[in-house]
Amino acid sequence: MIAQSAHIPNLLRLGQTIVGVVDRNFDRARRVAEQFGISRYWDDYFMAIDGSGADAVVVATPTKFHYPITMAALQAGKHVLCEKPPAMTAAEAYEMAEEAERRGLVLMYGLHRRFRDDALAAKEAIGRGELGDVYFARVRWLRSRGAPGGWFCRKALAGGGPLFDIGVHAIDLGWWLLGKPKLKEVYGFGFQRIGAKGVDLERGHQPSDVREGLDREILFDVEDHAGGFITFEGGQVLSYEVSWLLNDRDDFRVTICGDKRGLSFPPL
Amino acid sequence: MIFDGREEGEAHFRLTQEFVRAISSGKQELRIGADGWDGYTIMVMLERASQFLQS
Repeated sequence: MIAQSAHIPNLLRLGQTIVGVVDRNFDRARRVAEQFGISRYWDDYFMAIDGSGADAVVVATPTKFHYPITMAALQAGKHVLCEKPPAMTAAEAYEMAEEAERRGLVLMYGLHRRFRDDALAAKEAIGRGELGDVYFARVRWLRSRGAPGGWFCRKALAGGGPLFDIGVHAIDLGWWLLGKPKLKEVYGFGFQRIGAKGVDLERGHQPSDVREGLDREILFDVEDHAGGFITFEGGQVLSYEVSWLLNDRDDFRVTICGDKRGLSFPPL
Repeated sequence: MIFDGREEGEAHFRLTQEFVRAISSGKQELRIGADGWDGYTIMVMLERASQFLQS
């Protein structure tokens, strides 16, 4: 879905040629290709990587497949833009980073929240020293009823629930604004109290298989709500809290504090 | 700042723009985007945080 709503239109807007579309569902690959006027489509990513002649590959699959597809693309000499979260495990992400570095290829993750106007303005203000020495960040992204359904809710495919889906943005944004300090320790909590009893699925966030009626299985074996704090070698602390299902109001807020000033967004 | 509902879409566009620029420039360096090593550090944080989840 993110390929249709963002990656493909954005690449076309930038004047790039898209040589083909891959989806394990062949009909969907054809439909998407036709929708955007792309001539080739496949249901096997190996064919696309080996036979397309592309310079770069965008990986927008369930998380479980980020590692094998990214590695295959890098090994074939392709630059990769991979959706978030990077992988199922840190060990997989390490290998992906090492492979890209060894081959001199770009490996970029779809952590787009760094590119929002408010995040960029905050980063610039921090860079100009307006906040002084920044030492604390708090990122909160709560959805009262915002479980996407389908593969997103299955640990074996997604790696985790809101922690992996939106927590990855929260943690990335806080860490990036703090200046990417070196990690020390992580303390956390998580609850699985609502989803496993019967989920209120939010229609707007459903993956393609659910929207198209191809995936009707209700399986929710991930957390509803997670949070904690992360400490860094320089003494900085990042507090995070994220949810898909929580009896609280919806919220998205980033706060960063320095020893001179602090800022919070949105709005900035 | 002014909000008009397009902030997320524009952020996605800028991300793609940086990816294309990094490849086209030949330097293959990202200025803002999360690269492979950022991704690794983020996964270490996520993996440790997930150890506290109830199953």
